[in-house]
Amino acid sequence: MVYESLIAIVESHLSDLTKTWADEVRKTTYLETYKKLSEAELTRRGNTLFSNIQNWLLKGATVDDAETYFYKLGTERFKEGFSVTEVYYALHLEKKVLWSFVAWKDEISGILEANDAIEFMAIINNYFDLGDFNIIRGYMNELYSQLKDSKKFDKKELESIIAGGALYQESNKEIGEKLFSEGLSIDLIK
Amino acid sequence: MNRNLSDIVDNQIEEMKKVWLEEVRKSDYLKTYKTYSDEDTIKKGEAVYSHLSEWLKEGATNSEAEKYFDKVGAERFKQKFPLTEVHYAIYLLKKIFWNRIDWRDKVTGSFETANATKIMNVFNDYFDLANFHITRGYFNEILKTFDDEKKFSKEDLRSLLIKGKLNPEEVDDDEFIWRHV
Repeated sequence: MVYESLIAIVESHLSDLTKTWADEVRKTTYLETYKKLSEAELTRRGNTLFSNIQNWLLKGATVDDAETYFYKLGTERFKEGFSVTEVYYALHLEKKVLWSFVAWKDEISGILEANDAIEFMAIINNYFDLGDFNIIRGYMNELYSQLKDSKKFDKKELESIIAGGALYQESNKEIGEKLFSEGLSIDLIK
Repeated sequence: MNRNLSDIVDNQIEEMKKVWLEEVRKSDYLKTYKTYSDEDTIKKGEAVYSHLSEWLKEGATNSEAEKYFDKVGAERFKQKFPLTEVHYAIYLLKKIFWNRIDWRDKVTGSFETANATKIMNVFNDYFDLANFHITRGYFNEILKTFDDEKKFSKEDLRSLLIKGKLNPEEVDDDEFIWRHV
């Protein structure tokens, strides 16, 4: 029941979910590397994110496909020069957007029973925890591969490989505020 | 509401830290954590819950948790933990937390979904915040370490980043992620 409902929400709101995520990405000053992407590319990536969770649910929430997908994502983002914290935050935004749609759908239709709400959250969390872990695996593995292939490991070289700017934004409070659920509460997203 | 939520955490800490220790000892994945004494291991888990409680008391807005997890990330790097292992530890702590909370009785009295979804969201944010800042602290420490090349050789890097944890063939899917606490 919960799986079916979640699939239905993603399926019927795929373009809205994608658009909301892309809007959130554009609004934040933290996701500088994502903002360098064209509108079409950002939308494509957003669509892929939500389509992937839909496929994962349709296939019975098995580990293999999602694990492979996120591992590859971590590797690719490394090669593209994203900082890992930026990728992590983009994934966090996706979860917030998805959850906001689930909560909103419930508000207008009252579809969620108490246990359903907990199960919804558990499923969504499992997916994103899996994503978080495998993105880092992919990212770190690629970091290692590149360092291994290089002859020297001085600071400048390392920065050029892994930093991407965002790690140094100590004064950037936006990320903190959003993770503290002030700027990106369910109500605000909706 | 936040005060009420922090009470829930405080009331569960003793039990949760015991479960945490058991989970660490059972896990094949948390090899680095297992090199620490029971006392040290408990402290590591307890600190995450204590900061959750404080974070809630301050209205889920203080920056102490942010600073704490940045520091944890840096420390774990220096202690030679693979980053994935630290994330898995946070995942376990979150699972333990969710399983210990009796939402219906303790959060709302009579369980109301609208409140529950908001409350779950607040708790989730905390663990996301933890992972984010741990990752940031960890990577910043990598960069600091490279300031002094003598402290960090190619073999050190290999040892840190691989250690079996990043190799897909060596990750036990049965143990990982879907093994619910």
